[in-house]
Parts: sequence; structure tokens; C-alpha cells
Amino acid sequence: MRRKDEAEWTEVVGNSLREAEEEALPSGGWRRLEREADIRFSLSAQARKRRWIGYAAAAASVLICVSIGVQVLRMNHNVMNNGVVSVSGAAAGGSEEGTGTLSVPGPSSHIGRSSRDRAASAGLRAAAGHPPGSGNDAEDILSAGEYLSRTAGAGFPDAKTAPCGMPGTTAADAFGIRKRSDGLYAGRAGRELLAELQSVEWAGMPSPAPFGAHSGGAPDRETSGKSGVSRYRTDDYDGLFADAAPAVRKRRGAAGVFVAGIIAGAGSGRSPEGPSYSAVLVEKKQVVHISDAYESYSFEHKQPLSFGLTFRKEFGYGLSLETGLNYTLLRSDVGVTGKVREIRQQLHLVGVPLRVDWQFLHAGRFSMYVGAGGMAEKCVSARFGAEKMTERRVLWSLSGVVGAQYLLGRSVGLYFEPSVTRYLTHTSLRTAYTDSAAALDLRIGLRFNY
Amino acid sequence: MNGTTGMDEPTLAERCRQGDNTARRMLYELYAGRLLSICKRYTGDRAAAEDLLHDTFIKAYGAIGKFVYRGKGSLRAWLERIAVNTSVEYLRSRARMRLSPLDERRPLPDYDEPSGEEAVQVPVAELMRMVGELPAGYRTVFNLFCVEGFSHREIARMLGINEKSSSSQLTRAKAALAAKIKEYLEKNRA
Repeated sequence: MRRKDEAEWTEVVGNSLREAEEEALPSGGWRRLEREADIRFSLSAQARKRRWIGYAAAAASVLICVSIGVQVLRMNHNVMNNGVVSVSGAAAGGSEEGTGTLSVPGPSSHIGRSSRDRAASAGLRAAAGHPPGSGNDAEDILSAGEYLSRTAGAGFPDAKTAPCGMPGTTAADAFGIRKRSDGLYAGRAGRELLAELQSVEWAGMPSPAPFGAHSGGAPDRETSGKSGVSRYRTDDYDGLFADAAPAVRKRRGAAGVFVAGIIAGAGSGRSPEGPSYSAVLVEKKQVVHISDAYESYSFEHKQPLSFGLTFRKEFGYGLSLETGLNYTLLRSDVGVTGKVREIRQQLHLVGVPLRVDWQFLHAGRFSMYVGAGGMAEKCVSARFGAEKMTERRVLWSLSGVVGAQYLLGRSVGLYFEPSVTRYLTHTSLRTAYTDSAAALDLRIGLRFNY
Repeated sequence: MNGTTGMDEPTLAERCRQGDNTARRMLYELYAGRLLSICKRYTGDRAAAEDLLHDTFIKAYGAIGKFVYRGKGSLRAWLERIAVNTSVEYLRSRARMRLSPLDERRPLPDYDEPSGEEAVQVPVAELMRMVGELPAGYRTVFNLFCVEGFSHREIARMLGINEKSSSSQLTRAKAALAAKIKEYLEKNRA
């Protein structure tokens, strides 16, 4: 009968199909599955522990940097003692009362001069060039140059016999700053200058030469025309002032802002990690399917944009440590097979960089530096179409920079900083970073020195 | 391969739930072949089927906590259900099935049906190919009705169509399939 036949053939076909089993499984199928399952279902305490270790390491490194900074700051403050202004480096053993050791930066010490030293030097210059009592703060400050020329002429044989080195004499006395009846030194300006002078950098100073070797009148002066900063030859003064050990290091810093658009980095290469991202998304009524086919989608990565804040701490010898807070936006237009309209993928990353810079060139307002460091970033928000994605991993990267800075004013520097960044860990989603071996970045920013 | 492992179904499921990677792998190796076949049957396209296989397992690993062992074969049935749902969901998206009402207006075909003995001669791989060649709408209804064993009512609910549509889709599917089988037998009889 027809109906019986009908039932039979469909039943037969149905049974055959029900028992069918594909023999050839997709190659690498388990590997992809395992990886994704691991990411998605990392409910094991192990994964959680790893994350906490990462946070702890980051916190520890921040703490270390902060404590280094605090130590250096503390070293500085030990200098001031009851209004007796004296400077002593750590190596000198820091006997404070009655010793005055000061240094004036020499031509070799051109490193990271901030507005404060320039002010100090200018003060000295003004002092040397102008007679005392000109009716402003210079009055208190002054006589440095005068004193120096006086003592230079007097031909003291060595440091110890220079007035500055005499017990009971303070540097304030040496500079002719008036001592008030209450024992404090006159004038805010006076204290300020002394404070500045004592914090002036020693880096690159030649070793003290016997005073007697340089006789003769007024100190030589080199004036660099553009900046108007004069540089004294320290050879003349080392005998007077120098202490064998370097004085306190300069503690300057800068805060800044920057913007950056990464030049290269967009590409269509395969991501080295081969993300196996599989999710079913909902974009209004349509279901957009990210799957292993994600790899085969066409990506057009837009230029990543970033901006942020920087904080820099200078440490002497031209070295400085810079950190800050970065925000980066990664956008891509993704062509999904079968879909006419492209899907917009967006990742928002927030990161904390840490970098060591070395300034190797300084000429007037212009300076250049190189630096190397790394950054820890986290994707705080990601979107594929309308669906929110999560990226759990912390992204680590290394970067090298070359920077050029031009001082616009006394304390504002404009800088250009091309850099190369290489990411050590990648996001599951494909971005301009995952699809290129290294990202070239040009950063423009401002630094405000303090 | 089924039933030849050291682990029985409840243990395997429990270990997967705990996140045991070995258990997950075993689950994959035991059932991937069958589930891939299901996905292929619905999509008619190997690449899409592999994607759906992947998704099926991800869903399975995620939902294994909800699996309740009800006797031998229940794990397989549970997994197969996930595969079917995933496939249907995929087909429903992007309006792949085009179950348009226009289609309904055409008169139901009259077709020459193969017999049971004839049908048995067609190898499974060929049947898979034939089913894959069917238009998506016919294919889905055919699979759900004849292979998975759902009723038209259930199919209607799953696909968001009415029962009459489901029924007519099935008839058209059978007609097309019967023609293919006949064609195949003709070719291979000689």
C-alpha cells in the first residue's frame, strides 16, 4: 500500500540519518574548544589565583617605585636643619651644622635643568653682575658672585681654608645673607635661593681641583644666548665649595598630558594566537554568529586613538621614571560572511605604563631622550556589534621610545614621542594590536615641570 | 566508540561539570562525530556545521550542571538536543529558511515514492548529501519530523510557523527527496 510504503521509506531514511556519525572531525577542533572552554569556564581557583598574583605583582611594583621616590625625597629633606642651610650628600656622612657645601652646575651638568635651577643660576648671575642692594630680593640673595670674586682673589689654597669650609661658618654667612635677631635667615628669597642652590644637581661634576690652581679674578662665565642661562666654570669653585661626595640629587618631576594616534598596526594578518571565540550574539533581531569563522572575517582596523596623563620623576644622570594613565580606543569594521552590513567592533583599554627614560641631549630649550618600558592594560569594555564582550586578560606590552621636547615656557614642554610597542599578551578579539607584530605610535603631549 | 570508555555517563557528566579537562575531551571524542553529523544535516554546509559543533560543545560544557542522568543514552540525547537547537537557532537567524507563505500556494506535488527496500540501498553519505541539497526550509522540517521525531505542533512552535506550513513543507521535502533517491537508484542500478 502506498501509505505503508511512504511510512517505510521515510522511516528507513530517518533511521539511517539518525545513526549517522561523521568520522572526520575538524582538525584542531578540540584544541580550539579546549582553549575557549578554558577562557569561558575558568571557574577553577587556579585562574582566580593567577589573576590575584598579577594584581599583587602590579601593586608591588608600584609600591617599590613609590618607596624609591619617597626615599629620594627624604634624602633631600634631611638637608634642611634648623635654618642652618647646609648640604651634605649621603656619602659625606651628613654632618650638618657648620658645613656649607654648595655647588654651582657646570657646563657639563646640563641635564634636566628645570626652571628652578635656571632661576638659581640667574640669581647668581644677577648677583655677580649687579651690586648689592638693588632694592629687590636680589638684595638678600646676592653677593654670591661678589663673594666668589673676592675669595677667588684672596687665593685660598684649598677647600678647607675657604671661608665656607670653616667650622662655625654657615653657607648663609658665606653668601652674605643677613641673619636676623631671631636666628633665622633674612628674607624668604634668601631661604629660597639657598634651598634651590643646595638642591642643585651635581651630576657630571669634575672632581674638586685645588683652589690655588685657578687664580684670577672674576669667574669665567659662559652664557648660552638663547636661554639666557649662564654657566659657571665649576673648576673655579670646586675648591671653595666642593665636597668630595656629590650633593643631593635633584628631585624634579613633571606631569603631562598626551594624545596619540597609532600610525601603523592596522593589518589583515592572522592573529598569532588564533582566538577561538565563539558566541552567539544578538543584534536586534538578527543573530550574528562569531565562531571559529571569526578568523576568516575581514577586518578593517581603524587607527587606534589614545590619550592620557603622565607623571615623571627625575632621578639624576638624566634618568627619569615615567608612569601615568592611558586610555586607548580600538575600533574595527568587521565584515561577517553572509552579512551585508559591516559590524563595528570596539574595545576600550585602560592601562598603566611604566618607563625609564634617559635624556641624552639638552641644548637650550630642546632636549631629546630615549626610553624603554612596559605597560599593563585591561580592556574595560568591548563590543561586537551591539553585544558586549568581555576580555578578562591583562594585556602586557613592551615599548621603546625616542622623544624630543621643546620648552615653550619656563615649565611647559611640548614633546613628540614616536614609539614602538610590542604586545606580549593578546586579546581574544582581533584588533590592530593583534594583527601586527609591533605598533608604531606617535605621541604628542605637554609636560608641566614642577 | 560509545560505551567503551572507562567512565560511565553520570561520572563523565559530573567531571565535566567540575571543569575536568580530560573529561571534557572525552566527551568531545565520544560525541563529536554524531553531533557534527546532526549539524551537517541541518546546515548542509560543512564549514558552518563545524562552527555549530564548536558552539554546541561550549553550550554543553556550560550547561552540563543542569543535565540529569535518566538512564543509558540520556547524555547522548541531551547533547543531540543541544546540537539540534543550536542548528535550528542558526537557521532561524538570517532568515535562512525562507518559509514564505508564497511557497504554500503552489499545489502539493504528486510524487513517485521509493519503497522501503529501495531506500535501504542508499548509503548514508548519499542521504546526507541529498538532504543537504534540499532548500533550507524543507530540510529543517524534514529533519525535525522524520529524524528527530517532533510533531508538527512542536515544529511549528520551534520555527515560528503554523502547523499547516510545517505539514506542507514536509510534503514538499519528501517529494524532493524521493525524486533524488529515485535518481540515485537509476544511476546506480545500471
